[in-house]
Amino acid sequence: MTGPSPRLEVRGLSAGYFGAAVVRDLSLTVGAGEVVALLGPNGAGKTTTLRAVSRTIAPMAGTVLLDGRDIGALRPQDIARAGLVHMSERRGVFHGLTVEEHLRLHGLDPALAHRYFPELEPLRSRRAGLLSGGEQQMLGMARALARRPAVLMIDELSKGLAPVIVERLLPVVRRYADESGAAVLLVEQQVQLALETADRGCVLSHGSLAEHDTAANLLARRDVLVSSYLGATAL
Amino acid sequence: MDRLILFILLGAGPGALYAGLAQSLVLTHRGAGVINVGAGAMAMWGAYTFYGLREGHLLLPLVYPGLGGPVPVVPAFLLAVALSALLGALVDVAVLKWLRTSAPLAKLVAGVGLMLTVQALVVLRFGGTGQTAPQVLAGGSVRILGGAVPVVRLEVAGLALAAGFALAAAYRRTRFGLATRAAQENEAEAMMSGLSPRRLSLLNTTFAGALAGAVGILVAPMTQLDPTTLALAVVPALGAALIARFTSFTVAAAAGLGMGALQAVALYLQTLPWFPTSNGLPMPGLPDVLFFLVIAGALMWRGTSLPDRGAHIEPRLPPAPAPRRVARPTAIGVAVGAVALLILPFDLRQGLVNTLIAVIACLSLVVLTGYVGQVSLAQFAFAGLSGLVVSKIGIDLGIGPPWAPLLGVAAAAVFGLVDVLPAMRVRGVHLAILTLAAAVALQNFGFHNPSWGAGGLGSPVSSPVLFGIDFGPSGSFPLNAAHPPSPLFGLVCLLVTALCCVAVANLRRSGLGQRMLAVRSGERAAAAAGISVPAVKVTAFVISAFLMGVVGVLTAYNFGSVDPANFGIVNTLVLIALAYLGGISVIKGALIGGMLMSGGVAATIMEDYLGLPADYLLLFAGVSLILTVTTTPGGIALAHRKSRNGPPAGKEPGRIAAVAEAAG
Repeated sequence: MTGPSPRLEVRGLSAGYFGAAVVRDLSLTVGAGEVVALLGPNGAGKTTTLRAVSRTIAPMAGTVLLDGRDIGALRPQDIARAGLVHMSERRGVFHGLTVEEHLRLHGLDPALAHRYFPELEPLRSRRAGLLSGGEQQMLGMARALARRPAVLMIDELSKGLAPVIVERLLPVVRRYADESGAAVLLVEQQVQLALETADRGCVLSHGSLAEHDTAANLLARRDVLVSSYLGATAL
Repeated sequence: MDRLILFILLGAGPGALYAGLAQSLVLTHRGAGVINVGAGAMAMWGAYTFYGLREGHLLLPLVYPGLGGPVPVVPAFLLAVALSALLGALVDVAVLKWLRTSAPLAKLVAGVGLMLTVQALVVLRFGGTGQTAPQVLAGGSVRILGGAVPVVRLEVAGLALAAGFALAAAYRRTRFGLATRAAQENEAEAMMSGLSPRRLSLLNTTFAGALAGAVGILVAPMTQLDPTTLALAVVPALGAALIARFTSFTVAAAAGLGMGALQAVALYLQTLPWFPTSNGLPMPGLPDVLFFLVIAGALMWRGTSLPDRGAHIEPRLPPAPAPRRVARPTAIGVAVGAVALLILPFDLRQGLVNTLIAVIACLSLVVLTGYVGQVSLAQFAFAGLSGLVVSKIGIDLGIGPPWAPLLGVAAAAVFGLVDVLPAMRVRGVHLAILTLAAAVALQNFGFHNPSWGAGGLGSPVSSPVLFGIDFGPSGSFPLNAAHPPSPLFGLVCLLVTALCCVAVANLRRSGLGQRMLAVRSGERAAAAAGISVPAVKVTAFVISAFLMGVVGVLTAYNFGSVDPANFGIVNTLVLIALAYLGGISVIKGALIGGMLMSGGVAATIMEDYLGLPADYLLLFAGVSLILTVTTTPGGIALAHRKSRNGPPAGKEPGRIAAVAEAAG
């Protein structure tokens, strides 16, 4: 189902806080040009998985391969520079910096960012803290996409946003994956929207992989999704 | 009016110093999240390095190799600034790097350690007296409004202002500046953006070191090159940096120059005929009082909104376990102490008396910092006040024990009540800054004042005589009393210290002690649990001041006079260092800290039996404070707990959670 060498490969990952594992022995891959939705109820370990992959927390076990290269020994900033961009729930913006300064921070071409989100152009000199939630999310995404990541991980794109904005943002993610051949790992609470965008879906439950199928199949078998969210035994 | 303007222009010299130091403070805070109280000491090190180079020596810690002749001005200046930058880098790598996840107070206390260390190194090399600082900038003077103003003063003020504008522009325009701002706002997010907060911290601290060194070198000829003046210039600089919210370089520069002007105005007022005098000289210390007022005002005005670095959990202070057994250790301790007082030779007996008094001083910090999480840098001001009361009413009114000591301790406790007023609004790091300013103001305005303070020479204290028995150090005693202190005085000190230890132990075990720990771990959470945070803080401050009052009374009787040298800001800094080293949160730590205190048992053994000069104690205090804060926050008393109960509080798990919280 994926290409010969996945862009992101996670093998046997365990991670957690204060010595207690939240994610246990998780393995997944995301291929080139593929969007994978990471789903699951609150506390299933979705965010922890992303943090362990980007090493903003130290994983307890497991390997992470970026384009076949083990990134276990790298620091978070080196992983970011190697092409893995992790957009946290904080949307990846710094409230004290202006829109333009966000792009200058990485020496990025503003035109590239404005191509994805023309809405940002008139807001160039506004501080990010003064933007609306949707605008902040656009800025975070514009900044992430302009860095041309090989792997993009997005945590809760829709958090605190109006549905209309989510519907504006998700197609951009899809388009980026299609055009650039990047791998996208999408953590999302809006299951319907996420699966409509993604190629595949992984459902986490209590830190392990409970379900794994193509997005179309998962959408078709809603009872499986519901039971994994509500904790009932799958029928 | 003309003369006032003239004075203000002359104030441009110190103003430039405060402006430069304030910018250095802003740099360190933005880059590393640390309020570096040692910035003034770093400026002093730069100035002494330059002095050394002009004298033909290279100033390094503990060695002072000759260079075969004086180095010319320009290379000497550049080399000294480069070495200052190196010092900044060293401070970052050796100290700040290890404090990234520490509590803000621990970071501040590390700055205190830096200040003590640099001061000690300078005292060991050059002694306590001043040197003539070599000039850097040449230039005569211009006549303005009928007075001569040295051009140099205007030049350095211009340079300080220019530095402010240059730094502000760099932080707005360069990628380095943008990255620092980003990392300052949220380090975890910055790492996910491919930025390295460690590297940014190193670069900023290096710049801060260079800036502090440069301004120290330039301004030293206008102020004084001695181990304290430049180091304590950090107080007005902190005021300026607070006004700038530790963020804006231009505001910091302007406010620093403003502090210089304020000082000049105070000096001008002292020349006016109506200005109150004492013994024919104008009252000292007015500038320091003004600095204190500015800092208090700045904290009231902007203090609540200092930026944090995106870590949502407050790192924890060392654990403060309740003592399980009190009676038996106390009985054993008192018995051993009493025997020691009776049989030890006089020098060790004096050391033991000093240690016993220092234990009470450490206990005052155990209550305030260990239990409630507040830092006061004015502790010895309370002791001094109580000592002065004992001295004045003893000499002037002829009142001796038991009323004099009681009044002295009561005065200290009441003063603690006054001191706590700012703590209602101000907490933690800000409170520490405020008390630092208060301590300097009290030292110069209070103790050095001949009218109501001790003047320069000290205020005499009459021996405590009660029921016809002299309890003082020179009293008679049937055993071993050929040399003072008399064992009887030692026994009194032992009894008082034991009582204080038992009282603090019971405090920790009482409901009030529980509430104190609740306030320490989170004021809002404590308030939500129905605890009156102000009441707990007031009580803690009063208890702490009360204990320092006891220290003041015993010290006054011990020395037979109240000397400002025993109650100064440096005494408090050393006290904090050793209390931290011993263990700030447990009584055992206070006992260890008391042993190590200057004049205590350890120092006596070091000096009299090992032949090491006492100045090394200052160095030891500074270095050990830095080491304690960075490696073993619990101090010696809790060091063994590390292996038994997993990693110490605030270390690795805290780091992970801090990053995770910040990311989430």
